[in-house]
Amino acid sequence: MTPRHACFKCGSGEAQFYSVAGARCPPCFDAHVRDTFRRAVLREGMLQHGARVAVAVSGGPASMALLDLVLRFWEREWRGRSSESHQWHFWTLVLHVEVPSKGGAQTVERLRDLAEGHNLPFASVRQEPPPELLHSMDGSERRQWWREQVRLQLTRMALDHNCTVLLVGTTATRAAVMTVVRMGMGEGCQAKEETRMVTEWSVRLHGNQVHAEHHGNITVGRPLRELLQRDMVRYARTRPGLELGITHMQDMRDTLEGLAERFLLEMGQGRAATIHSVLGVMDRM
Amino acid sequence: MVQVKLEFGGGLDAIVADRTKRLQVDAPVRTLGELITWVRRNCIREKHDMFAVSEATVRPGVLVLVNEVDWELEGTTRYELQPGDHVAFISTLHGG
Repeated sequence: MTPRHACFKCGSGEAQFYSVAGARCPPCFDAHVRDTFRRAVLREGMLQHGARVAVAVSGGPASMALLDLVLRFWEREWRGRSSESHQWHFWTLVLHVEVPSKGGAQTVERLRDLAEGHNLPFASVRQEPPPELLHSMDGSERRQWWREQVRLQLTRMALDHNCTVLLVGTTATRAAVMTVVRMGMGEGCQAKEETRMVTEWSVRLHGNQVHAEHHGNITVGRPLRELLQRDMVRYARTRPGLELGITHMQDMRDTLEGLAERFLLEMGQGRAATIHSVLGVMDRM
Repeated sequence: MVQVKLEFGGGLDAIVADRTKRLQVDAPVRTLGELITWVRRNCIREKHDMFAVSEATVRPGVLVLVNEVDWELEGTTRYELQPGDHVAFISTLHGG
């Protein structure tokens, strides 16, 4: 039977997932996401035998997809191998920073249940905002403060558990938004020394395609860096149980982040190449 | 009038009347663009611009699926609704 919209990869499947490159059928879309993740992981050496890997999970689609991809990667790449010479293993820890405004305790319990369902250790910490500090900030500054606190907490937890790798679910879309935000807030091109052995790792304005940074005892990896946020939302929808944690939509209308996101989405129309071009231009500025 | 099933995901249910994720409605519309206008007026209870900034099209960052197919493949707002269609609106406007 001829498909209404033929998948541009296999030619025979019924396409459901739109992209500027071409529409994919479900198996080809799944393969695209898995292969993009796998290439990033192997190219940057994010997952190696004996690694102690912390996966930062907020409950949003990208981080949920990240955890799912890590588990599928382990199943396929290592557990699936029969030869003793390929009995590799890496230890995985699920990390979460509870932010009261983002679903809070409910998200923590869902993530704890998810981790336990996969026999994974889980660690979380609650980040309380100092009221006097936040009342003095506008929306953009509050979001920036929260982001920095979450980053610090995740790094500390990973180091406390002797992890050698910290994986975060930064997508191309989010990286572009943060690049625009940082430029708008005048943060320029400085790399900051924040904690022991770890420097600024969100989005640096030096160089393109920052997938992984190696800092002393820990490697911070962003294996979703070449995927769009919409791809992660669509991927999470196809995988059982991944949408459980998504309980909130962030109202960023009065923030620089919201403006940046709307600008990129309207300009890029979902084109990853456009978003990468924005990153590339700003990296060179 | 066409009967369709609506789904609100990615946190959009928080701005829908009764905070419901799923609805079955009889809407006096023909196309998907008209449905978006109708939903904005009749189903969204607050922060309407989080769903659609203007009439007939959703806010950038809100995915629209028609029977699990991205609406770009179905002609976006020009898609003519069929009885029983499942239309999902999913926000991508949240963190990772």
